Amino acid sequence: MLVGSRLVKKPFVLLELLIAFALVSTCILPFLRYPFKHMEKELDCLFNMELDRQARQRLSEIVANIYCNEVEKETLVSTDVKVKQKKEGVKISLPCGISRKYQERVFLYEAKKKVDKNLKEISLVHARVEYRNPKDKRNILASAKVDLIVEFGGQQ
Amino acid sequence: MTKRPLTLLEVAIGLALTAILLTTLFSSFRQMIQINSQVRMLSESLHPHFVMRLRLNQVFGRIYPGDKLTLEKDRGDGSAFKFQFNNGIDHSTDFAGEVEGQLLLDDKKQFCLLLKKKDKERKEVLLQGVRDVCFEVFDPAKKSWESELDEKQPLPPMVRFGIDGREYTLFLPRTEHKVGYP
Repeated sequence: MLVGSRLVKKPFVLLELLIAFALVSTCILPFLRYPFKHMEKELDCLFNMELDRQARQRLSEIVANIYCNEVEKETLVSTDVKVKQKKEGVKISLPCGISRKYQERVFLYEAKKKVDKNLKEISLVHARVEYRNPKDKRNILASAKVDLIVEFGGQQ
Repeated sequence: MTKRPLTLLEVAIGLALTAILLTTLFSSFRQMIQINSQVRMLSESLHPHFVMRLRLNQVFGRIYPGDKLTLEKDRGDGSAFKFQFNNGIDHSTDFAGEVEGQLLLDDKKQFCLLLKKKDKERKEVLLQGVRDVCFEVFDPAKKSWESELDEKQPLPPMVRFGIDGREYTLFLPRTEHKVGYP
């Protein structure tokens, strides 16, 4: 501030200082997002590992059911590759108790078929379990698959 | 120039603004530390399980028809599960190719894969601090999960094992069992 020919320094008001401090702190806030994002990604990774284990567990149940002839023959010989079973909101929990919900899809279809020399039908059945993100259903997070040789008219 | 003193209102507004900002910053910081420690603990407990599963998938994927696989009645330490498999290329030539494997829980509470070939032995620690292990194989003939398997029986399609209450299933892609439908 110019008073006559002398330059006099105007002192800062406390309020000005505090407002400046508040503005600077507000600018810091967006940077807090990155550590959170990093942790979110780490959690995603842990859930994917758990989903992978879960997919194999679920597939083992399906395979056991096929071996026990509990799955209908019509389902096994169907060449339709579309989803055979779809479950929404399958809860997957981590050991510490954090849980998330996913979409489970089961595929079961006949990939190949042949008739042997004894006229016995033999099929290659493909079984697959997939877990998808309910918000982005195109995104397959974990899957497990197995191919089984099924003899029809054979020994049970 | 006379210095204008600060009014109480100015100070109060300034303090209020600072308090709001500090509360937001500290609460999110505290929350971040809490979640971070939780995620780190989880990661430390789940990653070894994941690595173990990868190794066992590799091992069980290399059991071929004709390889011996026996599971004796569970004695509580998991030492009864023995099998032959093709270890492929190994960093030690002593354990390359066909080897004998055994899954066991040792006295230090380590879940190990013991490899044997001729008179040589190597222990791979898969998991540490394990309390109990149990194994089961799926027997398509009996259509049930069994805790015993004779070496004369064909390769089962699946092996299931539980480690401290967590279940894992491994598929044997070269199983000799076909599914029979009437």
